[in-house]
Amino acid sequence: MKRRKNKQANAIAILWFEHHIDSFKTSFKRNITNPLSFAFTVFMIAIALSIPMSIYIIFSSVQQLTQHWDNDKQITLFLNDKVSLTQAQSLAKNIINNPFILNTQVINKKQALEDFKQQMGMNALSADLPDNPLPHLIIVEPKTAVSDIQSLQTLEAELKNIKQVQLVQFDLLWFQRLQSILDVINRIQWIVSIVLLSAIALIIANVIRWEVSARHSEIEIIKLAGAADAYVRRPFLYSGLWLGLAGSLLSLLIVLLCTWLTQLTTTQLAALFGSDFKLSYLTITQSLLIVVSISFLGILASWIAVSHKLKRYT
Amino acid sequence: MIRLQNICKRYPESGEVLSQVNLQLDDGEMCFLTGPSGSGKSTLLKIIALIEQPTRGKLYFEQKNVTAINKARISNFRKQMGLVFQDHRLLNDRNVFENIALPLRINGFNPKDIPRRVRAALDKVGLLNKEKAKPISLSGGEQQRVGIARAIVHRPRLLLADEPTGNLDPALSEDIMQLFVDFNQVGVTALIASHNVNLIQRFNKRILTLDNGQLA
Repeated sequence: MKRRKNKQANAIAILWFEHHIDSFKTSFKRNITNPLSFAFTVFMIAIALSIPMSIYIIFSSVQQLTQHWDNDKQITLFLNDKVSLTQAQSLAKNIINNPFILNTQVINKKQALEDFKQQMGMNALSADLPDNPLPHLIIVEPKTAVSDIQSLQTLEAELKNIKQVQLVQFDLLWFQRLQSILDVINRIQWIVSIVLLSAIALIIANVIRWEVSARHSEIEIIKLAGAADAYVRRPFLYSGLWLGLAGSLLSLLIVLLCTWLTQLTTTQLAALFGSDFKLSYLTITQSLLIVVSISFLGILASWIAVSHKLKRYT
Repeated sequence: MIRLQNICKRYPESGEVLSQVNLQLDDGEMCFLTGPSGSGKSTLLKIIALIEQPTRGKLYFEQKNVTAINKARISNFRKQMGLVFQDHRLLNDRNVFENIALPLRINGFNPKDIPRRVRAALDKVGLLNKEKAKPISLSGGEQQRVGIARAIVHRPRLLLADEPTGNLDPALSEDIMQLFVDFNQVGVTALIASHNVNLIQRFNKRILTLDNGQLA
Protein backbone atom coordinates (compact mmCIF):
# COMPACT_ATOMS: atom_id res chain seq x y z
CA MET A 1 0.00 0.00 0.00
CA LYS A 2 2.74 2.37 1.07
CA ARG A 3 4.87 1.39 -1.87
CA ARG A 4 1.94 1.99 -4.18
CA LYS A 5 1.44 5.42 -2.70
CA ASN A 6 5.13 6.20 -3.18
CA LYS A 7 4.95 5.03 -6.75
CA GLN A 8 1.94 7.23 -7.35
CA ALA A 9 3.69 10.24 -5.84
CA ASN A 10 6.69 9.58 -8.06
CA ALA A 11 4.48 9.35 -11.14
CA ILE A 12 2.84 12.67 -10.27
CA ALA A 13 6.23 14.31 -9.75
CA ILE A 14 7.44 13.01 -13.12
CA LEU A 15 4.26 14.27 -14.76
CA TRP A 16 4.56 17.67 -13.18
CA PHE A 17 8.17 17.84 -14.34
CA GLU A 18 7.20 16.75 -17.84
CA HIS A 19 4.55 19.42 -18.06
CA HIS A 20 7.20 21.95 -17.08
CA ILE A 21 9.50 20.74 -19.84
CA ASP A 22 6.58 20.71 -22.23
CA SER A 23 5.58 24.28 -21.29
CA PHE A 24 9.19 25.36 -21.61
CA LYS A 25 9.37 23.94 -25.15
CA THR A 26 5.96 25.13 -26.32
CA SER A 27 6.50 28.65 -25.02
CA PHE A 28 9.83 28.69 -26.84
CA LYS A 29 8.18 27.40 -30.03
CA ARG A 30 5.54 30.12 -29.79
CA ASN A 31 8.33 32.71 -29.66
CA ILE A 32 9.99 31.13 -32.68
CA THR A 33 6.75 31.05 -34.66
CA ASN A 34 6.23 34.74 -33.95
CA PRO A 35 9.83 35.96 -34.12
CA LEU A 36 9.22 39.59 -34.99
CA SER A 37 6.99 40.48 -32.06
CA PHE A 38 9.25 38.48 -29.73
CA ALA A 39 12.30 40.35 -31.02
CA PHE A 40 10.59 43.73 -30.64
CA THR A 41 9.66 43.01 -27.05
CA VAL A 42 13.12 41.70 -26.21
CA PHE A 43 14.73 44.81 -27.71
CA MET A 44 12.41 47.08 -25.75
CA ILE A 45 13.29 45.29 -22.52
CA ALA A 46 17.01 45.32 -23.34
CA ILE A 47 17.10 49.05 -24.10
CA ALA A 48 15.09 49.90 -20.99
CA LEU A 49 17.45 47.79 -18.94
CA SER A 50 20.69 49.10 -20.44
CA ILE A 51 19.98 52.69 -19.31
CA PRO A 52 20.21 52.09 -15.53
CA MET A 53 23.05 49.66 -16.16
CA SER A 54 25.04 52.35 -18.00
CA ILE A 55 24.41 54.87 -15.24
CA TYR A 56 25.60 52.28 -12.76
CA ILE A 57 28.81 51.72 -14.71
CA ILE A 58 29.57 55.44 -14.87
CA PHE A 59 28.74 55.86 -11.20
CA SER A 60 30.86 52.97 -10.00
CA SER A 61 33.80 54.02 -12.19
CA VAL A 62 33.73 57.57 -10.81
CA GLN A 63 33.35 56.24 -7.30
CA GLN A 64 36.37 54.05 -7.75
CA LEU A 65 38.30 57.10 -8.83
CA THR A 66 37.30 59.05 -5.71
CA GLN A 67 38.19 56.13 -3.50
CA HIS A 68 41.60 56.37 -5.03
CA TRP A 69 41.69 60.06 -4.10
CA ASP A 70 40.39 59.27 -0.70
CA ASN A 71 43.55 57.39 0.01
CA ASP A 72 45.76 60.39 -0.52
CA LYS A 73 43.62 63.10 0.97
CA GLN A 74 46.35 64.95 2.80
CA ILE A 75 46.13 67.99 4.99
CA THR A 76 48.99 70.43 4.78
CA LEU A 77 49.77 72.57 7.84
CA PHE A 78 51.76 75.77 7.18
CA LEU A 79 53.48 76.67 10.44
CA ASN A 80 54.33 80.15 11.73
CA ASP A 81 57.63 81.66 10.52
CA LYS A 82 59.01 81.64 14.05
CA VAL A 83 58.54 77.93 14.59
CA SER A 84 61.88 76.15 14.42
CA LEU A 85 62.52 72.77 12.85
CA THR A 86 62.81 70.98 16.22
CA GLN A 87 59.61 72.63 17.46
CA ALA A 88 57.92 71.48 14.28
CA GLN A 89 59.13 67.94 14.81
CA SER A 90 57.80 67.75 18.37
CA LEU A 91 54.51 69.28 17.23
CA ALA A 92 54.23 66.57 14.55
CA LYS A 93 54.73 63.93 17.25
CA ASN A 94 51.96 65.50 19.32
CA ILE A 95 49.53 65.58 16.43
CA ILE A 96 50.03 61.90 15.72
CA ASN A 97 48.36 61.16 19.09
CA ASN A 98 45.07 62.39 17.64
CA PRO A 99 42.88 59.27 17.11
CA PHE A 100 41.86 60.37 13.62
CA ILE A 101 45.38 60.68 12.31
CA LEU A 102 47.41 57.95 10.78
CA ASN A 103 50.71 59.66 10.10
CA THR A 104 52.49 63.01 9.99
CA GLN A 105 55.55 64.14 8.15
CA VAL A 106 57.61 67.29 8.68
CA ILE A 107 58.94 69.05 5.63
CA ASN A 108 61.95 71.25 6.18
CA LYS A 109 61.55 74.66 4.58
CA LYS A 110 64.87 74.32 2.75
CA GLN A 111 63.76 71.06 1.26
CA ALA A 112 60.39 72.61 0.40
CA LEU A 113 62.08 75.38 -1.52
CA GLU A 114 64.27 72.88 -3.39
CA ASP A 115 61.17 70.87 -4.36
CA PHE A 116 59.39 74.00 -5.41
CA LYS A 117 62.30 75.10 -7.57
CA GLN A 118 62.54 71.72 -9.24
CA GLN A 119 58.84 71.49 -9.90
CA MET A 120 58.55 74.93 -11.33
CA GLY A 121 61.88 75.17 -13.03
CA MET A 122 62.37 78.59 -11.43
CA ASN A 123 65.95 78.23 -10.30
CA ALA A 124 66.84 81.62 -11.65
CA LEU A 125 63.95 83.41 -10.04
CA SER A 126 64.36 82.05 -6.52
CA ALA A 127 68.05 82.58 -6.57
CA ASP A 128 67.21 86.26 -6.40
CA LEU A 129 65.13 85.85 -3.26
CA PRO A 130 66.94 87.27 -0.18
CA ASP A 131 65.73 84.51 2.11
CA ASN A 132 63.47 81.48 2.03
CA PRO A 133 59.85 82.72 2.11
CA LEU A 134 58.48 79.27 2.93
CA PRO A 135 57.70 78.08 6.50
CA HIS A 136 58.21 74.54 7.76
CA LEU A 137 55.35 72.23 6.80
CA ILE A 138 53.64 69.29 8.44
CA ILE A 139 51.82 66.87 6.15
CA VAL A 140 48.99 65.18 8.04
CA GLU A 141 47.49 61.95 6.76
CA PRO A 142 44.09 61.13 8.25
CA LYS A 143 43.09 57.56 8.87
CA THR A 144 41.25 55.98 5.94
CA ALA A 145 38.24 55.40 8.17
CA VAL A 146 37.82 59.16 8.40
CA SER A 147 36.21 59.76 5.06
CA ASP A 148 32.91 61.50 5.71
CA ILE A 149 32.74 65.23 5.42
CA GLN A 150 31.77 65.91 9.02
CA SER A 151 34.67 64.20 10.73
CA LEU A 152 37.06 65.75 8.23
CA GLN A 153 35.62 69.15 9.07
CA THR A 154 36.06 68.51 12.79
CA LEU A 155 39.62 67.42 12.21
CA GLU A 156 40.33 70.51 10.14
CA ALA A 157 38.94 72.74 12.91
CA GLU A 158 41.06 71.00 15.53
CA LEU A 159 44.19 71.47 13.49
CA LYS A 160 43.39 75.13 12.91
CA ASN A 161 43.27 75.64 16.70
CA ILE A 162 46.89 74.73 17.18
CA LYS A 163 48.62 78.08 17.76
CA GLN A 164 51.82 77.31 15.84
CA VAL A 165 49.72 76.61 12.75
CA GLN A 166 49.27 79.56 10.48
CA LEU A 167 47.26 77.95 7.72
CA VAL A 168 45.52 74.64 7.15
CA GLN A 169 45.29 73.72 3.53
CA PHE A 170 42.80 71.08 2.71
CA ASP A 171 40.47 71.15 -0.27
CA LEU A 172 37.43 70.08 1.66
CA LEU A 173 35.03 72.06 -0.46
CA TRP A 174 36.11 70.31 -3.62
CA PHE A 175 35.80 66.98 -1.90
CA GLN A 176 32.38 68.00 -0.62
CA ARG A 177 31.20 68.97 -4.07
CA LEU A 178 32.35 65.71 -5.55
CA GLN A 179 30.62 63.78 -2.79
CA SER A 180 27.33 65.57 -3.36
CA ILE A 181 27.56 65.08 -7.12
CA LEU A 182 28.04 61.38 -6.47
CA ASP A 183 25.08 61.41 -4.11
CA VAL A 184 22.93 62.99 -6.81
CA ILE A 185 24.04 60.47 -9.41
CA ASN A 186 23.37 57.67 -6.93
CA ARG A 187 19.87 58.98 -6.29
CA ILE A 188 19.18 59.38 -10.02
CA GLN A 189 20.43 55.87 -10.59
CA TRP A 190 17.95 54.46 -8.08
CA ILE A 191 15.03 56.43 -9.46
CA VAL A 192 15.82 55.53 -13.07
CA SER A 193 16.25 51.88 -12.10
CA ILE A 194 12.92 51.71 -10.33
CA VAL A 195 11.08 53.51 -13.13
CA LEU A 196 12.59 51.38 -15.88
CA LEU A 197 12.21 48.11 -13.98
CA SER A 198 8.52 48.90 -13.57
CA ALA A 199 8.41 49.69 -17.29
CA ILE A 200 9.95 46.29 -18.06
CA ALA A 201 7.45 44.54 -15.78
CA LEU A 202 4.62 46.38 -17.53
CA ILE A 203 5.95 45.52 -21.00
CA ILE A 204 6.12 41.83 -20.09
CA ALA A 205 2.73 41.84 -18.37
CA ASN A 206 1.18 43.51 -21.39
CA VAL A 207 2.66 41.00 -23.84
CA ILE A 208 1.43 38.13 -21.69
CA ARG A 209 -2.04 39.64 -21.39
CA TRP A 210 -2.14 39.90 -25.14
CA GLU A 211 -1.01 36.29 -25.47
CA VAL A 212 -3.69 35.13 -23.04
CA SER A 213 -6.33 36.95 -25.09
CA ALA A 214 -5.02 35.38 -28.29
CA ARG A 215 -5.33 31.96 -26.70
CA HIS A 216 -8.77 32.54 -25.29
CA SER A 217 -10.47 29.55 -26.91
CA GLU A 218 -7.58 27.24 -26.09
CA ILE A 219 -7.71 28.22 -22.42
CA GLU A 220 -11.46 27.68 -22.39
CA ILE A 221 -11.09 24.16 -23.80
CA ILE A 222 -8.30 23.27 -21.39
CA LYS A 223 -10.31 24.57 -18.45
CA LEU A 224 -13.35 22.58 -19.56
CA ALA A 225 -11.21 19.45 -19.66
CA GLY A 226 -10.59 19.95 -15.95
CA ALA A 227 -7.26 21.81 -15.91
CA ALA A 228 -6.40 23.73 -12.76
CA ASP A 229 -5.33 27.37 -13.02
CA ALA A 230 -1.71 26.41 -12.36
CA TYR A 231 -1.73 24.14 -15.42
CA VAL A 232 -3.07 26.92 -17.64
CA ARG A 233 -0.69 29.48 -16.16
CA ARG A 234 2.51 27.49 -16.57
CA PRO A 235 3.26 28.05 -20.30
CA PHE A 236 2.67 31.78 -19.85
CA LEU A 237 5.10 31.91 -16.94
CA TYR A 238 7.69 30.38 -19.21
CA SER A 239 6.92 33.00 -21.85
CA GLY A 240 7.62 35.65 -19.20
CA LEU A 241 10.83 33.86 -18.28
CA TRP A 242 11.95 33.78 -21.92
CA LEU A 243 11.31 37.50 -22.33
CA GLY A 244 13.20 38.38 -19.16
CA LEU A 245 16.08 36.06 -19.97
CA ALA A 246 16.49 37.17 -23.60
CA GLY A 247 16.00 40.86 -22.70
CA SER A 248 18.61 40.84 -19.94
CA LEU A 249 21.15 38.92 -22.02
CA LEU A 250 20.72 41.35 -24.89
CA SER A 251 21.04 44.34 -22.55
CA LEU A 252 24.31 42.92 -21.18
CA LEU A 253 25.55 42.67 -24.74
CA ILE A 254 24.49 46.25 -25.50
CA VAL A 255 26.15 47.60 -22.36
CA LEU A 256 29.30 45.59 -22.97
CA LEU A 257 29.52 46.97 -26.48
CA CYS A 258 28.86 50.56 -25.34
CA THR A 259 31.46 50.32 -22.56
CA TRP A 260 34.01 48.97 -24.98
CA LEU A 261 33.29 51.69 -27.53
CA THR A 262 33.52 54.47 -24.91
CA GLN A 263 36.52 52.92 -23.16
CA LEU A 264 39.05 54.10 -25.76
CA THR A 265 38.05 57.75 -25.76
CA THR A 266 37.56 58.06 -21.99
CA THR A 267 40.98 56.61 -21.33
CA GLN A 268 42.48 59.09 -23.75
CA LEU A 269 40.61 61.97 -22.14
CA ALA A 270 41.60 60.86 -18.65
CA ALA A 271 45.24 60.56 -19.71
CA LEU A 272 45.21 64.23 -20.72
CA PHE A 273 44.23 65.07 -17.13
CA GLY A 274 46.91 62.78 -15.79
CA SER A 275 44.38 60.32 -14.49
CA ASP A 276 44.17 56.60 -14.93
CA PHE A 277 40.37 56.74 -14.99
CA LYS A 278 38.77 53.77 -16.72
CA LEU A 279 35.18 52.66 -17.25
CA SER A 280 34.80 49.40 -15.40
CA TYR A 281 33.00 46.46 -16.96
CA LEU A 282 30.27 44.64 -15.06
CA THR A 283 31.61 41.64 -13.19
CA ILE A 284 30.36 38.13 -13.97
CA THR A 285 28.52 37.99 -10.64
CA GLN A 286 26.78 41.29 -11.38
CA SER A 287 25.81 40.13 -14.88
CA LEU A 288 24.50 36.86 -13.52
CA LEU A 289 22.53 38.69 -10.86
CA ILE A 290 20.93 40.91 -13.50
CA VAL A 291 19.98 37.96 -15.71
CA VAL A 292 18.52 35.98 -12.82
CA SER A 293 16.57 38.88 -11.33
CA ILE A 294 15.14 40.08 -14.66
CA SER A 295 14.11 36.52 -15.55
CA PHE A 296 12.41 36.34 -12.19
CA LEU A 297 10.76 39.71 -12.84
CA GLY A 298 9.46 38.25 -16.11
CA ILE A 299 7.90 35.30 -14.31
CA LEU A 300 6.40 37.57 -11.66
CA ALA A 301 4.95 40.00 -14.20
CA SER A 302 3.36 37.23 -16.23
CA TRP A 303 2.04 35.57 -13.09
CA ILE A 304 0.19 38.72 -12.16
CA ALA A 305 -1.06 39.27 -15.72
CA VAL A 306 -2.26 35.68 -16.21
CA SER A 307 -3.84 35.35 -12.79
CA HIS A 308 -5.76 38.52 -13.38
CA LYS A 309 -7.05 37.25 -16.73
CA LEU A 310 -7.77 33.73 -15.48
CA LYS A 311 -10.36 35.02 -13.04
CA ARG A 312 -12.75 35.21 -15.97
CA TYR A 313 -12.55 31.50 -16.73
CA THR A 314 -14.48 28.93 -14.75
CA MET B 1 -25.49 10.32 -9.83
CA ILE B 2 -26.71 13.79 -10.72
CA ARG B 3 -29.63 15.46 -9.01
CA LEU B 4 -30.97 18.93 -9.73
CA GLN B 5 -33.23 20.45 -7.15
CA ASN B 6 -35.37 23.50 -7.98
CA ILE B 7 -32.76 24.91 -10.31
CA CYS B 8 -33.49 28.43 -11.57
CA LYS B 9 -31.33 30.52 -13.86
CA ARG B 10 -31.97 34.14 -14.59
CA TYR B 11 -29.84 36.30 -16.86
CA PRO B 12 -30.06 40.05 -16.43
CA GLU B 13 -30.52 40.52 -20.20
CA SER B 14 -32.94 37.71 -21.06
CA GLY B 15 -34.81 37.03 -17.83
CA GLU B 16 -35.53 33.58 -16.46
CA VAL B 17 -34.15 30.83 -18.69
CA LEU B 18 -34.75 27.92 -16.32
CA SER B 19 -37.37 27.80 -13.61
CA GLN B 20 -37.82 25.14 -10.95
CA VAL B 21 -36.04 22.34 -12.80
CA ASN B 22 -35.93 19.05 -10.94
CA LEU B 23 -34.05 16.19 -12.51
CA GLN B 24 -32.37 12.99 -11.44
CA LEU B 25 -29.94 10.99 -13.50
CA ASP B 26 -29.03 7.56 -12.15
CA ASP B 27 -25.65 5.92 -12.37
CA GLY B 28 -25.29 4.29 -15.79
CA GLU B 29 -28.41 5.90 -17.20
CA MET B 30 -28.67 7.52 -20.61
CA CYS B 31 -31.06 10.37 -21.15
CA PHE B 32 -31.93 12.71 -23.98
CA LEU B 33 -32.80 16.33 -23.38
CA THR B 34 -34.91 17.98 -26.04
CA GLY B 35 -36.94 21.09 -26.64
CA PRO B 36 -37.11 23.99 -29.09
CA SER B 37 -34.12 26.28 -29.38
CA GLY B 38 -34.04 28.82 -26.59
CA SER B 39 -35.76 26.45 -24.20
CA GLY B 40 -32.72 26.31 -21.92
CA LYS B 41 -31.07 23.01 -22.93
CA SER B 42 -27.59 24.49 -23.19
CA THR B 43 -27.99 26.44 -19.98
CA LEU B 44 -29.02 23.29 -18.14
CA LEU B 45 -25.95 21.43 -19.40
CA LYS B 46 -23.73 24.38 -18.49
CA ILE B 47 -25.10 24.34 -14.97
CA ILE B 48 -24.42 20.60 -14.62
CA ALA B 49 -20.86 21.11 -15.94
CA LEU B 50 -20.45 24.03 -13.49
CA ILE B 51 -19.73 26.42 -16.35
CA GLU B 52 -22.64 28.53 -15.12
CA GLN B 53 -23.90 28.96 -11.58
CA PRO B 54 -27.64 28.59 -10.98
CA THR B 55 -29.44 31.64 -9.60
CA ARG B 56 -31.35 29.41 -7.19
CA GLY B 57 -31.52 25.72 -6.44
CA LYS B 58 -29.02 22.97 -5.73
CA LEU B 59 -26.95 20.58 -7.77
CA TYR B 60 -25.90 17.25 -6.27
CA PHE B 61 -23.20 14.99 -7.64
CA GLU B 62 -23.20 11.63 -5.87
CA GLN B 63 -25.19 13.05 -2.96
CA LYS B 64 -22.72 15.92 -2.53
CA ASN B 65 -23.87 19.49 -3.00
CA VAL B 66 -21.56 20.96 -5.64
CA THR B 67 -23.55 24.13 -6.35
CA ALA B 68 -21.04 26.59 -4.94
CA ILE B 69 -17.70 24.80 -4.82
CA ASN B 70 -14.46 26.68 -5.37
CA LYS B 71 -12.37 26.81 -8.55
CA ALA B 72 -9.88 24.14 -7.55
CA ARG B 73 -12.71 21.69 -6.82
CA ILE B 74 -14.48 22.57 -10.06
CA SER B 75 -11.46 21.38 -12.02
CA ASN B 76 -11.39 18.12 -10.04
CA PHE B 77 -15.10 17.69 -10.64
CA ARG B 78 -14.68 18.25 -14.39
CA LYS B 79 -12.04 15.56 -14.57
CA GLN B 80 -14.84 13.07 -14.01
CA MET B 81 -16.86 14.24 -16.97
CA GLY B 82 -16.52 14.41 -20.72
CA LEU B 83 -18.00 17.32 -22.62
CA VAL B 84 -19.02 17.34 -26.29
CA PHE B 85 -19.99 20.58 -28.00
CA GLN B 86 -21.85 21.36 -31.17
CA ASP B 87 -18.90 23.34 -32.51
CA HIS B 88 -16.39 20.59 -31.53
CA ARG B 89 -14.00 23.06 -29.87
CA LEU B 90 -10.82 21.43 -31.08
CA LEU B 91 -7.38 23.04 -30.89
CA ASN B 92 -6.52 23.84 -34.48
CA ASP B 93 -2.80 24.25 -33.91
CA ARG B 94 -2.43 20.65 -32.71
CA ASN B 95 -3.05 17.39 -34.49
CA VAL B 96 -5.82 14.90 -33.73
CA PHE B 97 -3.59 12.85 -31.44
CA GLU B 98 -2.64 15.85 -29.31
CA ASN B 99 -6.25 17.03 -29.12
CA ILE B 100 -7.39 13.69 -27.77
CA ALA B 101 -4.39 13.35 -25.45
CA LEU B 102 -5.23 16.70 -23.78
CA PRO B 103 -7.55 15.37 -21.03
CA LEU B 104 -5.05 12.58 -20.32
CA ARG B 105 -2.23 15.05 -19.84
CA ILE B 106 -4.37 17.30 -17.68
CA ASN B 107 -5.63 14.38 -15.62
CA GLY B 108 -2.12 13.19 -14.96
CA PHE B 109 -2.12 9.89 -16.81
CA ASN B 110 1.18 8.09 -17.16
CA PRO B 111 2.77 9.43 -20.38
CA LYS B 112 3.63 5.86 -21.41
CA ASP B 113 -0.06 4.94 -21.43
CA ILE B 114 -1.17 7.96 -23.43
CA PRO B 115 -0.58 6.65 -26.99
CA ARG B 116 -2.39 3.39 -26.22
CA ARG B 117 -5.40 5.17 -24.73
CA VAL B 118 -5.58 7.76 -27.50
CA ARG B 119 -5.55 5.02 -30.15
CA ALA B 120 -8.20 3.06 -28.31
CA ALA B 121 -10.44 6.16 -28.31
CA LEU B 122 -9.69 6.82 -32.00
CA ASP B 123 -10.52 3.21 -32.78
CA LYS B 124 -13.91 3.53 -31.09
CA VAL B 125 -14.85 6.55 -33.19
CA GLY B 126 -13.38 4.98 -36.34
CA LEU B 127 -10.59 7.50 -37.00
CA LEU B 128 -7.54 5.39 -36.32
CA ASN B 129 -5.80 6.54 -39.51
CA LYS B 130 -6.25 10.26 -38.81
CA GLU B 131 -4.14 10.76 -35.70
CA LYS B 132 -1.57 12.98 -37.42
CA ALA B 133 -4.14 15.14 -39.25
CA LYS B 134 -4.90 18.71 -38.19
CA PRO B 135 -8.58 19.15 -37.21
CA ILE B 136 -9.08 21.77 -39.91
CA SER B 137 -8.42 19.18 -42.64
CA LEU B 138 -11.23 16.91 -41.39
CA SER B 139 -14.91 16.94 -42.33
CA GLY B 140 -17.55 18.15 -39.85
CA GLY B 141 -18.52 14.59 -38.90
CA GLU B 142 -14.89 13.60 -38.40
CA GLN B 143 -14.23 16.67 -36.27
CA GLN B 144 -17.21 15.83 -34.11
CA ARG B 145 -15.91 12.30 -33.70
CA VAL B 146 -12.51 13.69 -32.61
CA GLY B 147 -14.43 15.79 -30.08
CA ILE B 148 -16.20 12.69 -28.81
CA ALA B 149 -12.96 10.70 -28.63
CA ARG B 150 -11.50 13.55 -26.55
CA ALA B 151 -14.54 13.46 -24.25
CA ILE B 152 -14.30 9.72 -23.53
CA VAL B 153 -10.55 9.07 -23.66
CA HIS B 154 -10.06 9.48 -19.92
CA ARG B 155 -13.08 7.22 -19.17
CA PRO B 156 -15.28 9.84 -17.56
CA ARG B 157 -18.18 8.76 -15.41
CA LEU B 158 -20.52 11.31 -16.91
CA LEU B 159 -20.80 12.35 -20.54
CA LEU B 160 -22.54 15.60 -21.42
CA ALA B 161 -23.21 16.49 -25.06
CA ASP B 162 -24.78 19.71 -26.31
CA GLU B 163 -26.32 19.24 -29.82
CA PRO B 164 -23.56 16.87 -30.92
CA THR B 165 -25.30 16.28 -34.27
CA GLY B 166 -26.35 19.87 -34.84
CA ASN B 167 -24.47 20.34 -38.09
CA LEU B 168 -24.47 16.80 -39.43
CA ASP B 169 -26.60 15.01 -42.02
CA PRO B 170 -29.14 12.39 -40.82
CA ALA B 171 -27.04 9.27 -41.53
CA LEU B 172 -23.97 10.71 -39.75
CA SER B 173 -26.15 11.93 -36.90
CA GLU B 174 -27.42 8.45 -36.27
CA ASP B 175 -23.86 7.08 -36.26
CA ILE B 176 -22.83 9.67 -33.70
CA MET B 177 -25.81 8.99 -31.45
CA GLN B 178 -25.10 5.25 -31.73
CA LEU B 179 -21.59 6.02 -30.40
CA PHE B 180 -23.07 7.55 -27.26
CA VAL B 181 -25.36 4.55 -26.83
CA ASP B 182 -22.32 2.27 -27.12
CA PHE B 183 -20.45 4.19 -24.46
CA ASN B 184 -23.49 4.07 -22.24
CA GLN B 185 -23.57 0.30 -22.60
CA VAL B 186 -20.12 0.06 -21.02
CA GLY B 187 -21.31 2.04 -18.01
CA VAL B 188 -20.92 5.76 -18.80
CA THR B 189 -23.80 7.92 -17.61
CA ALA B 190 -24.86 10.21 -20.46
CA LEU B 191 -27.02 13.27 -20.95
CA ILE B 192 -27.41 14.32 -24.59
CA ALA B 193 -29.17 17.52 -25.60
CA SER B 194 -30.68 17.50 -29.08
CA HIS B 195 -33.58 19.26 -30.76
CA ASN B 196 -33.90 16.40 -33.28
CA VAL B 197 -36.87 14.51 -31.77
CA ASN B 198 -37.16 12.06 -34.67
CA LEU B 199 -33.57 10.97 -34.20
CA ILE B 200 -33.62 10.45 -30.44
CA GLN B 201 -36.91 8.58 -30.45
CA ARG B 202 -35.17 5.73 -32.27
CA PHE B 203 -32.98 4.83 -29.31
CA ASN B 204 -35.55 3.86 -26.73
CA LYS B 205 -34.08 5.95 -23.90
CA ARG B 206 -35.64 8.38 -21.45
CA ILE B 207 -36.45 11.69 -23.12
CA LEU B 208 -36.80 14.91 -21.12
CA THR B 209 -38.49 17.84 -22.80
CA LEU B 210 -37.71 21.39 -21.80
CA ASP B 211 -40.21 24.05 -22.71
CA ASN B 212 -39.85 27.66 -21.68
CA GLY B 213 -37.37 26.78 -18.98
CA GLN B 214 -39.52 24.06 -17.43
CA LEU B 215 -39.35 20.28 -17.71
CA ALA B 216 -42.55 18.86 -19.17
